[in-house]
Amino acid sequence: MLSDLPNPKALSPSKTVLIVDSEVIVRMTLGDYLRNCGYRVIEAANGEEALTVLKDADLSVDVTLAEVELGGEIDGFQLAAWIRSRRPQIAVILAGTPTRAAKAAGDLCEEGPMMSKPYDPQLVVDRMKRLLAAR
Amino acid sequence: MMGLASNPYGGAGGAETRWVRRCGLGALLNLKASPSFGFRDALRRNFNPKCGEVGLTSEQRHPDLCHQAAPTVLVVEDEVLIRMALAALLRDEGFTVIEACNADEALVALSATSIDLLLTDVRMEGSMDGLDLAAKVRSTMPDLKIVVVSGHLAPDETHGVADAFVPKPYLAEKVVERVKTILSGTNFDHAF
Repeated sequence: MLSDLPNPKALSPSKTVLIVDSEVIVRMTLGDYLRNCGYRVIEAANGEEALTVLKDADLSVDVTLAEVELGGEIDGFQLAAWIRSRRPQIAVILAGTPTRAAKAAGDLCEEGPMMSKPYDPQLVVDRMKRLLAAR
Repeated sequence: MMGLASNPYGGAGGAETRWVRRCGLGALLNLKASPSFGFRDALRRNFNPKCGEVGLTSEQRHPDLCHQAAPTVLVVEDEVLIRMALAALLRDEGFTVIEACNADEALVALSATSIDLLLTDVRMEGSMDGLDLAAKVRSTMPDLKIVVVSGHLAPDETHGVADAFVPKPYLAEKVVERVKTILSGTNFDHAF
């Protein structure tokens, strides 16, 4: 319920979140919510777009929130592996309801296991805050 | 800067729908749980009465997340960095922005929420290009404003399907100015 969500104005993050999701409505809604919480948000529609963002030297990403099953040639696991090896300072949250590789997701993420979709906005923010606080 | 507290352009209606989109987070984020319903149906069925149910007064809506909607711009661009930069600039100017990477995503967004202006590139992957998208939208939603950007078209090629044409390369600030001009109803030339 919305009444259970945190008051956006009570949060004071200024970190950048990269949302990688193949559904425009999900990106839009989650992006709006995180912006209302004070985060800077970059939206990518697939793994290829996410890599374009992550490789851009002018952009600094603190957290990547990626759906596991992305359209295109790069899925969320591959994206997470790339980030872990090339941008280890970026926290990764994988989301989805896959039947495979839950343990692999846990190994890749700092605080696995994966989040399940549909998203609970409160859990998303809580997970990001924990990851960022630990850095 | 255009504030979020007012809508100087008096967009093409749909304020309630925008409230749904901005406030019905639980509904939108759980859309996957009800794949048999369309987005609009899902929005209506899962509407959060504390936030934006049609018929409630503004005092009854959630005070923190609900506020009068700003004009909504749908940006359709397949280059993520260009889309991101343009969207950020529009948000800085107070617009609500939806980002779509191709025409197919744009059609999903158009079916799910109220849009005041479509800003689309032409050459994109997907079932149709930006010009076809503009033509489709013009025929089905004639009140929706349309701006086409392209490095491969002449301005007269967008007559009849767009309210304005912006040639590439462009300065993002000029695109934003054009969007503001069109939504304010000011007379303008079709192209820069």
